[in-house]
Amino acid sequence: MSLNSHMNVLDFTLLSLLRRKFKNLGIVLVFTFIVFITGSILFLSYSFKREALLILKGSPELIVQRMSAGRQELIPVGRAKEISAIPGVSGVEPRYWGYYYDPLVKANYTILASSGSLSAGNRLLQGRLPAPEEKGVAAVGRGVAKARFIDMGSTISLVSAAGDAMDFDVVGIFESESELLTADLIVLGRPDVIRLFRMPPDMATDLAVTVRNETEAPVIAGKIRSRFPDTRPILRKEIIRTYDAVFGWRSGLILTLFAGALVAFIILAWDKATGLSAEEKKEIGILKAIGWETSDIIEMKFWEGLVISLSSFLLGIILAYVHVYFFGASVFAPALKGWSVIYPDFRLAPFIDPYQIAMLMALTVIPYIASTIIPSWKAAITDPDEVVRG
Amino acid sequence: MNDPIIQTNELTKYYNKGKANEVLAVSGVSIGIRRGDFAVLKGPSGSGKTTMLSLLGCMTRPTSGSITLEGRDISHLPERFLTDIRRTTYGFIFQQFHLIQGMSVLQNVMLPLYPTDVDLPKLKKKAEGLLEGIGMMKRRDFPVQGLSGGEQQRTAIARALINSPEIVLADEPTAHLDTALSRNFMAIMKDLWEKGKTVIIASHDPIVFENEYAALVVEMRDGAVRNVTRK
Repeated sequence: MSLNSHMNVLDFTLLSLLRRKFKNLGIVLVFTFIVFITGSILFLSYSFKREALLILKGSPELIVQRMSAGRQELIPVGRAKEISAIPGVSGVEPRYWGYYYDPLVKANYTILASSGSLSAGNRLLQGRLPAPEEKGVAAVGRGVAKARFIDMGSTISLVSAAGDAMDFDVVGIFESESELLTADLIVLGRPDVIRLFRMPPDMATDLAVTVRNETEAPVIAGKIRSRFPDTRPILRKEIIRTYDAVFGWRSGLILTLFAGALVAFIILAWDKATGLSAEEKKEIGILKAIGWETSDIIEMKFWEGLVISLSSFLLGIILAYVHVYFFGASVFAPALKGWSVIYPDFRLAPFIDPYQIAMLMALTVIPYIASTIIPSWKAAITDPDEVVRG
Repeated sequence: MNDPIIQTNELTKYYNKGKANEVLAVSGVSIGIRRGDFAVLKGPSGSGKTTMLSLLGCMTRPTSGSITLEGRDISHLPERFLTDIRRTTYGFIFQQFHLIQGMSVLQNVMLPLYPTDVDLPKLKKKAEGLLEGIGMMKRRDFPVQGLSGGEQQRTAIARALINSPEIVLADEPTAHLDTALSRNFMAIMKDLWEKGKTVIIASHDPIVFENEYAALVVEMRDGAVRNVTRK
């Protein structure tokens, strides 16, 4: 067949699709919806995993927490010196942080004491970070600034664990590669964090341990554990694995809930695969009778399947992208984020996994084209005589 | 000129052979149709006319016996060769017209040549010429489902002629037409015949088989040939 004949068959296919515009529009809508939902879930869970990796990129290899009755407790700062003495440890830094529920806007913030290592993964959009021992100043994430309608130079009021109101001048607003990292963050000077949470002197929330050789981290963790049996050393790798499992599990959960719609789509595809309408069969017979070859009919049906499935796929993916990255995945984010109910809004950075897109395409476009071609092929190999006989 | 363009020899066709609903549709038919013949297959319903027309038009294969087209045995050719013959040699007018619903008159006429390397503008021009010839040009952009029976049949005739076939086959073409339209149809067939086409019509309508230019009338009954008249 020449290029002309392929173009002519494509021309006929488009005419043919327009003839059944309402039926085809219905299929496009269902198909687009399926791709939109699945694509949204994939984009969202993949972005969460990437955000988590970004957060952890600048974090220490090891975090040491003290446990009491199965719960995390404050850890004595004095242990930092002993841990520093373990061979392979390059540094230990006490961290002062905690969560703060803001009843005004019904959001949860992360309060963190400023330190030398803090600015490594974060950049300030405006202003500066509080100095480690500075009092009465704060740098806030964009989510906090948005929730509290504050800007540079504004004052943010928080209530300490003792019930005192504490005012802070906003001297910086965060910008970060990952907005998930800083959206809910408020950075204060160390004395302010201690006062806000009413932490005892010489106690920290946990200890951040850096090691010379990352592969040595599990060995060092074991040594810390044996020296301080009430501690829980957490490896960065373990946190990454946990994030992966949590978001994988959550997206799996949504996909399971979504299985009903998937089943409906499969039924639609099966319906197409197992039979053509009498009218479609008749048309194939007519085309055969007037001189179309079986391969011409298969080609026409291939174009038909490709036009419908590819346009639906592209539309669904674009809608999913817009939904996730421009509208914050308003449909699924609560289920995927879990704790988002009290989390300030944040916008995900667009991360796309080409492998996932290719898989989704392979799982939707190819079965649809096959379900279009197979019954048509079956109809096309029967004698056109059946048409002549009416 | 007098050599048969189509020759059948002991042509037999069973449907559902070996099954409970087996039907012997055509039984041992041997006829010869010459180039330029106006041939009519005549007989009541169930006599085997339509099956015979299907066999001659390469729409189905015989169970036994043979068909030769211009001296070449086509009885057991693979499907793609039969398709090629249908596309290049035959023009078929169906009893129910079998136009594609939802498409215009012009698109239906162009249909047989879509999967060929002909340019669409050229094809369109040719289709318009045929529609002009049968007085359907004004209706070229009408969807076919809105046409009258006579108009649908004229569209089907134009479609059958788009590939400039040597042989025109028509199955019960006047079954759904009134007398005036039937005569119109026969006038078009006569015109084609006079232009040198071989015309083969299956019909039980006297308007068809009693016309003066039907050179060959094959009378069939119960799948077999009862009588052959050549004028």
